[in-house]
Amino acid sequence: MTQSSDKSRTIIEKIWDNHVVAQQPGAPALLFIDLHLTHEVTSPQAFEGLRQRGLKVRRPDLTIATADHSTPTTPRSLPILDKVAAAQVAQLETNCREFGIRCFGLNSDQQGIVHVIGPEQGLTQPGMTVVCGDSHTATHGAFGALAFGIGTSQVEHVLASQCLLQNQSKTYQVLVEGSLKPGVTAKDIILSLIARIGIGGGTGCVFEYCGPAIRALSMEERMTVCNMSIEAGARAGLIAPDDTTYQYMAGRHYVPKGAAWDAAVARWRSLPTDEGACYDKSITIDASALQPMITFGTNPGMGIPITACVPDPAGVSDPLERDSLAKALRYMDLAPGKPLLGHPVNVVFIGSCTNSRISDLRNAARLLKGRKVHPGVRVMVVPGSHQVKEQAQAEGLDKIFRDAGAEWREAGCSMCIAMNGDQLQPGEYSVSTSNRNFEGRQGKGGRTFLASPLTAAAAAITGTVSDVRELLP
Amino acid sequence: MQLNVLILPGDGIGTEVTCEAVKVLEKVANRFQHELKLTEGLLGGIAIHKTGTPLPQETIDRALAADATLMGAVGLPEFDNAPPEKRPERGLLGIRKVLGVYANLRPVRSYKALLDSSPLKNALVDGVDMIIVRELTGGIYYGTPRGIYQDGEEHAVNTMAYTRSEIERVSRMAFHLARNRRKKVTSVDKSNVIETSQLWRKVVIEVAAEFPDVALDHLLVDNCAMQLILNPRRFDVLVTENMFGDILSDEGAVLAGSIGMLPSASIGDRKPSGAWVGLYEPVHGSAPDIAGQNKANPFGAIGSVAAMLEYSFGLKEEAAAVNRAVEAVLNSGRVTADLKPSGQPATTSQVGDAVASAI
Repeated sequence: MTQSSDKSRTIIEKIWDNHVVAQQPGAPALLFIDLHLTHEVTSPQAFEGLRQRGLKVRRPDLTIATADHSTPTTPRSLPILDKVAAAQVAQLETNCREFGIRCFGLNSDQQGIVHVIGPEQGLTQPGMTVVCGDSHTATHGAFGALAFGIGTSQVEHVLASQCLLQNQSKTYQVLVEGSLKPGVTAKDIILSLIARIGIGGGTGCVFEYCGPAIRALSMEERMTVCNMSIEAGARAGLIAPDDTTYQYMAGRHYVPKGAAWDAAVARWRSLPTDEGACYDKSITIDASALQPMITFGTNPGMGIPITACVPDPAGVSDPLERDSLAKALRYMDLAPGKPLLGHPVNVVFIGSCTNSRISDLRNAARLLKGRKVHPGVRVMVVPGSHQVKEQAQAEGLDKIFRDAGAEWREAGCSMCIAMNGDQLQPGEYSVSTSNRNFEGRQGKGGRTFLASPLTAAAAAITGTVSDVRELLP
Repeated sequence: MQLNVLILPGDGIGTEVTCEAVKVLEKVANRFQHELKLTEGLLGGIAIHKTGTPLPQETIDRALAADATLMGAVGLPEFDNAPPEKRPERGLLGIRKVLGVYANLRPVRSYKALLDSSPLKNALVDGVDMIIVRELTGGIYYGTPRGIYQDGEEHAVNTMAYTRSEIERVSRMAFHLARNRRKKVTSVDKSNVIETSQLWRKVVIEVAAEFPDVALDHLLVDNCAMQLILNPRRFDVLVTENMFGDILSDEGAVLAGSIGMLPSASIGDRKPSGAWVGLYEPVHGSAPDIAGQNKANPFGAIGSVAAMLEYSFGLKEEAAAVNRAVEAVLNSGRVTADLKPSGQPATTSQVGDAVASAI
């Protein structure tokens, strides 16, 4: 695409412009997709659609599949017992064979949560458009990619054409100043942003996270931030690539090597937002003022600093908001105006595409080392991928978790979405490092407090919602 | 991880070998930091003595609650003339039926130290490593009509029957196991003569399409019986229907040098919690003739612990540690009388101690 050189552009606009294949006035643009990630749950109907229409996959070389959503995280020496899950995983493998797609199936040592393995394998690269039939595709935005979730019918479109009809989103700058205090993490940045602007705050927008606090984050922390962009309503969220990005990527399996790598990095260095570029919206957050965050309600916007009190619907003026808060507190069975600290917890879940990478597990292990899980609390640690699992075992983290009394499981989405049998019982409370606290998300009648791996590990030790800063050495 | 294991020692040498298996399991739990929760239950003759039935309801409840069940052996001569429902063996069949275990896995491997114990030439047996997967709940042992009746002269009838889903699930088990091994499945049938085998072969071929990385071949059961002796190393995972498996797995036992070496795993899916059911037991019986003398070979029971660690708990490293310890003790020559020890035979408990300390 040609673009007038005098116009300063954001990274979001640059990636967009680079991918528009056709654009007619008044109609959505046709966007080329560089990487299409698929999994066993949102792809079967799409492949069936291709079959019925006698179509091929347009670019099998740009399409990757893995099994994560309905995949059991129990031992894999025996076949999958659940018939639906077994059929889904088998169908994925069959579809991938038939259409010539690389598949990291259950017996692959590259298997894992789709948003963990993309970056891990070096498939996700700066400047790309990345789609997946999954809400949390924005995770890949951490690499300076325009990455967003699509529905199953769109999965079929992309399989058939490698293109997608899209309306251009507005640009939204999220400037995070200052630096994080001990015990406060990337998860707390994103939870506080969502709490501040609400679950509709980013609607119609793509976030660009920037500022010194974002630059200071590792790639895995950046993925945690971008991962939950959709929970603020945004189409996507991204972070411009920098040396942290290139250091993380260098040498990974699917990244260019040698001279091609140097050329790619040179190209990627032109991606960051130009000086003087304008955003449609912006917000500034002071990282230094953040506390560990936790959600109390039934959407990710219902979050508070760990030491704060649960809000009182009586103090909310908007009647719709008041009703929704009251309804949430009824579901959660929480009293308004009371602190969440000290609230008993039944289950702690450490995992999901938000927080299941090696640094997340190291954080949790740092707190659990030499300590014991509180009696009566079930703690599940579910690594995001087979490779994360191997790495954690090489570092002895599995032993720390087991010694503490936590379950160390196989890779998958697990209790984040509770499709694989890992779930809460009705009325149970979890502190979960995942991304959604909707009613029944982690099992019918289950109640979810979203938090960071550090805060989750703190709850594992005390058996209650706790301030991790009091447990840090 | 937490290992909730039900122990059903049973009768005769069952109690002795199970005691050694538990010793080994405890050592593994200790060494690899697993939390072992053992419960014990009654099965077989001892259950008849204490409760009047070979399979008390409490045992069933405990088996359903446990992650895995380790059994010894059942059978006492005093019940030889008892009515069928009052015989210890009824407990064994009963628990298999209640738990719906449809796949019987028999790992068969040769050990360097025992090559001379096999009646076959060392060169044939050395390096044998296979799993025989026998369908356990269908086929001629369960089919109806069955019985003996009078119609002019005496008639007897049995029915060999299989459904597609019965064949599918056991073949998926075989292919899955092969995927984690040498990626070869040999399906054994008699499809040149009988219809159940024709359906068997058709369904196995269809299931194989789900596992393109695993090679499949077919043998007729008569030829298979021969190949097991002529060229046992050709087998990786052998899958077959109930009666053929019953016969072929005994043939396989000879390859290992002694039936006392053989472990088994019976896997099923009839558990309310939605987890796999695993019953683990040595292949041998209760051997009343040597019971109480501390001379039974505990390797079959110990091997069953290794199978349990691998299949029910996915603990491959731990399972490998048990198998290595078994191999080390075999090489030391400190084994029970049935394995032709180099000097004075070791007792059952000495073998158990040696394996535990080698882990």
